[in-house]
Amino acid sequence: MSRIVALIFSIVLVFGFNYTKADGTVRQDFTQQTCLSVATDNLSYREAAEQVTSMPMVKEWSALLDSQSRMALGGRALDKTEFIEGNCYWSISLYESNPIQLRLWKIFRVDIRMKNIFTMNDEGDYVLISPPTQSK
Amino acid sequence: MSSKTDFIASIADAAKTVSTESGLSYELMLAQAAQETGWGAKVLPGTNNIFNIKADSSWTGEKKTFQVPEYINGKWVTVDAAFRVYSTAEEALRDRVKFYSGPRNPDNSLSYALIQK
Repeated sequence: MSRIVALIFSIVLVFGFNYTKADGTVRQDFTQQTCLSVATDNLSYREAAEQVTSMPMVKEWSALLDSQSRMALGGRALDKTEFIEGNCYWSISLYESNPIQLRLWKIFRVDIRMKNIFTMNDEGDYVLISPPTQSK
Repeated sequence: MSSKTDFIASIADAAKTVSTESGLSYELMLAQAAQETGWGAKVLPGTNNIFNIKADSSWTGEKKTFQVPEYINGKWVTVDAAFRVYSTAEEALRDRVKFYSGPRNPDNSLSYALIQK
């Protein structure tokens, strides 16, 4: 019995609570611990990084660097999950790599559940960039 | 305190010390450190390398290698990259000043960093 309880506890710890809402979408509630666990999931990181690198602004930037024989570089070694007000985000950074150093281009924050993407502005605050906010 | 304030507070004393030694503006050092790290959000773990300086052949100190995704010919591939390891942020700031005033910046192309106090 105690083994079953331990197994359930482990599953919840690693994957969080999942339940299906009335509209059919799956909702996942994170805790600090489950969000930290996501940080070890390479697939989850790859998906978040792909979301970022498939954005037109990122494609344009990396193509521009490529055309000038400069290199774009992803910050896998520096990226981690962040738990903020009940939400779990992947923090994804992109750099220009030159022979001397990596120069930070932008930091993105991808909401693991909602897939919204935010980017850090010069003041260090995050602004929503995807999906784009609807203009009236 | 916010994480931004925490980051500035964590390196302010070091920046002031290096500023006194070099005559460079400590405010500018702090601004550059904030810009290069996303206000402290991105520092290579265990390196105190706040400017993400690579460990090239001229570097004789400790270094650490990380796997990083690089965009080459339209594709992301993973490569190894070595970076300098500093014992403190102060050491990192001192090394940065050395770079800006050294032979690798002969034409002062990075002179924005040399704004005096």
